[in-house]
Amino acid sequence: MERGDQPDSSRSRTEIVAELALALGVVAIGALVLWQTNEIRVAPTYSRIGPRVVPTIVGAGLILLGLWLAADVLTGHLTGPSEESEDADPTLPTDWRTVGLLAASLVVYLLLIERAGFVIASALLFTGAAFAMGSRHPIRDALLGLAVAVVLYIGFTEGLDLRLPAGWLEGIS
Amino acid sequence: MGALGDLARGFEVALTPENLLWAFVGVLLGTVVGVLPGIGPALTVALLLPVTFSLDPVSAFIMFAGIYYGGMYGGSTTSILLNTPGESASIITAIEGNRMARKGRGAAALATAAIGSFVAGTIATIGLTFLSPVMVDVALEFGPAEYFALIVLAFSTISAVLGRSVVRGLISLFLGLAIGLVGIDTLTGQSRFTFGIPQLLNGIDVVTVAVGLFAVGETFWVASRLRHDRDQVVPVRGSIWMTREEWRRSWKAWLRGTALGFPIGALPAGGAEIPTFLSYTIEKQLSQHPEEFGNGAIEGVAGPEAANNASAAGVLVPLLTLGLPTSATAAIMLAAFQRYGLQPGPLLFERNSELVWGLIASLYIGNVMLLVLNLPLVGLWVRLLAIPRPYLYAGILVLAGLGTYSLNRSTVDLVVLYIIGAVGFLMRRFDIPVAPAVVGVVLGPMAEDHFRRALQISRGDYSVFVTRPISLAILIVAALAIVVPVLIRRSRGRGDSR
Amino acid sequence: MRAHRVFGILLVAALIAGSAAFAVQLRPRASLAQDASPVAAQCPTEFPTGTLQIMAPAAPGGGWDTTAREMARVLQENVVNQPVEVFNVPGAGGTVGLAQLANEHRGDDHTLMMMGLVMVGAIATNQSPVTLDQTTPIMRLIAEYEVIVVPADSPYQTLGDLIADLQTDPGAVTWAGGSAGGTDHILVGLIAQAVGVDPRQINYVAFSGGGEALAAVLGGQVSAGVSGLGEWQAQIEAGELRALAISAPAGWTATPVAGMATPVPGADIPTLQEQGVDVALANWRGVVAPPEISEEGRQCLIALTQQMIETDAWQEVMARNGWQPFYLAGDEYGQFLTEETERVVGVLREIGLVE
Repeated sequence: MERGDQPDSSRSRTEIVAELALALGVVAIGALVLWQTNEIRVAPTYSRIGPRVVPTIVGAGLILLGLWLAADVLTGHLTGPSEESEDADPTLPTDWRTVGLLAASLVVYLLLIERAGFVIASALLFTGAAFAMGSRHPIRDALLGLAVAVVLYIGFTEGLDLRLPAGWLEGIS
Repeated sequence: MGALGDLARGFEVALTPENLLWAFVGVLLGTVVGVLPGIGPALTVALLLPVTFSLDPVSAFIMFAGIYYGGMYGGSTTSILLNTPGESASIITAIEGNRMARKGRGAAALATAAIGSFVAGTIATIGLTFLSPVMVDVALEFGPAEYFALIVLAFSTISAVLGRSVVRGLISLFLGLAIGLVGIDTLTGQSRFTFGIPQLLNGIDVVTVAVGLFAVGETFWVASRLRHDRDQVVPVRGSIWMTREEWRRSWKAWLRGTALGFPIGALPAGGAEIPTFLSYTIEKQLSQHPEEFGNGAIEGVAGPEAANNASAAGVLVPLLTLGLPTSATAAIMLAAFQRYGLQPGPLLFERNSELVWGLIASLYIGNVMLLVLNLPLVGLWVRLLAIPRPYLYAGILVLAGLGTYSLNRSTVDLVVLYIIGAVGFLMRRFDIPVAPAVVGVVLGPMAEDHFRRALQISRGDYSVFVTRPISLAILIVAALAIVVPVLIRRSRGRGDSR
Repeated sequence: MRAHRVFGILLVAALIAGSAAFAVQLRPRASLAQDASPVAAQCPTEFPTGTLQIMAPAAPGGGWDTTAREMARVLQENVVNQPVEVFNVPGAGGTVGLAQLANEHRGDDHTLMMMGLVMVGAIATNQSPVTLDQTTPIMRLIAEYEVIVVPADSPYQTLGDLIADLQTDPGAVTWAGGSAGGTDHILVGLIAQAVGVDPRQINYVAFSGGGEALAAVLGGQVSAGVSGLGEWQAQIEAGELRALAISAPAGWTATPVAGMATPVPGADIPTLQEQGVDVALANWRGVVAPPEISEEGRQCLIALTQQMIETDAWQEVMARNGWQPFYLAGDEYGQFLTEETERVVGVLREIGLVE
């Protein structure tokens, strides 16, 4: 399974660096867990195993696993790229432009859902995400997104009595 | 034979054209609402209950049974098609189900889920009809020590979802365990890992984790490696229905899933997740195609879905016989019963015999309706996959956002969802399997709570786990479940060693 | 091909919309004008002038949500000419909702929040920055009393037996109940205080749901269980649980509950006070309004809830849910909140849950 012997050696070197960064990240998360464990107040109540025991195990486990991964990488055990999937080609380098567009759409959604309301935020998210994923018909996408958002909004608020923010469209119903 | 006669009377009450219509409406509403991500069966029942109150009791219960089973089933549809599980019990379904959908076998996955749900629901309802009193006695023997043992057994699932590298699988598991720690400590009421954010006190919902890792993470992964050269539509490969081979592989999985789901669902703290996990593990161990697991093995959908629906009927055992609500859904149902002046509990069968048997009869009817409604819908649902890729992923993001936000009307939840989505993207990038993380989030908190409860009751005596016979027996099975496959693999590996 | 796909989307959308519309149609809509009572004396103006909102600071289906929805229904069908809506803000024992009420709804006299004893405890255990002092008390509404039970085959025949063991070795008596710091835990703490046992020594096992605690008691996993009477009543009546005490004050009168065999359930259970343990605890619920609302708005909200309490529909709701009347309006309710906060925080501190 190991593909340490990839033909392109410069690529596998960046891959080793990336893998080591991952291992470091895991160790860091473990350290964060241990550090935050010290912040947990131990109530002086009747309990044999306090609220810190399991977090300590989890934090220590993460650190050990991070080290294990680092050792694995340094001894040449790279797993290589992920398995195939229909829409993604794992051999391609990361396309940061598409990822960035998608992330931006989500940030806009997050910022607008309570201000502009669910319908507008969702329609924009739909349009933005569709554009990021390769659609080149923004007007059609926006109309479609709006239709989906309106149907969901009406279904939730009228059908289920669950309130969603109306935002700028408050009063139009 | 008393139960049979009572059941016959129940059917007499329930089987009128009008009531059949209500059953259909209930199943339809339950399925449609249950399909929405983030809205699991508990919320479905809570939201749709008011609809039933305008009806007379028998019709209301029949519609209600439809909503219940429909809501339980609905979650699997989005799991399979969109990789967006609506509730914790259909997370496992997403693992194989979505792979099948991506290979063009979405219709078969939906069909095996629907038929499996029907088979499991019906067998479990029969179990509910005849076995309830016996099961309840056994169920009450389970204390925290036994539950802890059961969860240890369920952790053996990890071996089935670990993926290609042990260390990567374990990293995923421990990340899940860490996420599961967030929130108020059940036993001492202290906040843990909440960073002063009150919205985190209730913990991070496992559905948010699953949707973040599966749906959002996967969307980002696809976005980062977009194929620009391909036809964008996943074709339906082969027959739209299940092939003979798929039938052959499904039916045993349905039965095994039922055998796990019903008794564990009947345990007061059993739940629906543990049986789905166990079912997945067992199917992988027993399958003649273990290599297909992780790439869309139909047993991995059939078994857990059956387990899920069987546990839904199992939950009714303690509810009807003891008045014990053992899940969020059951707690809401208890409130519903009380609305009609029914007090579920030991005296229910004596006092309100007609209504109870009417309800049980409606469960059978609801199950049939579920199948009748959903098999034709399969053809419609798979069209979702024919949606152009940009719209499919845009739709997934909109639904994921809606489901997460509408739970608590909190943007904090959305931030959590997107952070977990980013983690999911990185995990995908580094080939770390996401399923172990979800197992960790579900089982970790349960294991901790039961472990600590057991020790609190025993006043710190660790021997409780081995001196109580049921606990000991389950732990032995768990040890075997972990050791035996390793031994088998060893001996196999030796056989064809290079 | 493209038209084909759009058709697919539309079909799914239509299905969702269709069933939603159906649900709308099924929900009984109140005829608004029908018997709107005249506005009470304290409220000089037409009130409310728009939609009245009730926040349930919990997920749908729980106690606060049920009470809020029942209240909304009774108000809309019998008292006011405006729509009454319920919305949920779940999280952290209601303190997330409390913070939202105090911040986003400041000065808004068309919003009420359902709350109760559990919130008083949660504010302390979660170190909530917003407290009840910052709200405008409107009306305390209902109470449910707690019962202390043992399994039918337990050696404990009376509360005295249980207390005697508790005094000898507090850790040997295991109590099953709901979440740590919740009503059940508070009651056990109060009992320990009253009988001279250090509340820190009590062996209280917190379960996440009422069902799990009940199973632990029925299965004899623990010595005793604590919960709301309504939740465990059926088992008590069937003789599978023995109720040792109820947390109602001595000499209380219970209102009947619909659908139960005994006319006045719980009335035959001796109170704690009657058995020499001077503790009474009601798991009460009430409504508060946001801070800084006008005096007129406050008066009108009080008048409104008062009218609601007097309707037959509300009486029917109380009977159906097994709630006991526990009314207290306005400033007196505010006074009660202060005292109750003091008592609850005091016992939580002694248990060790609050610093």
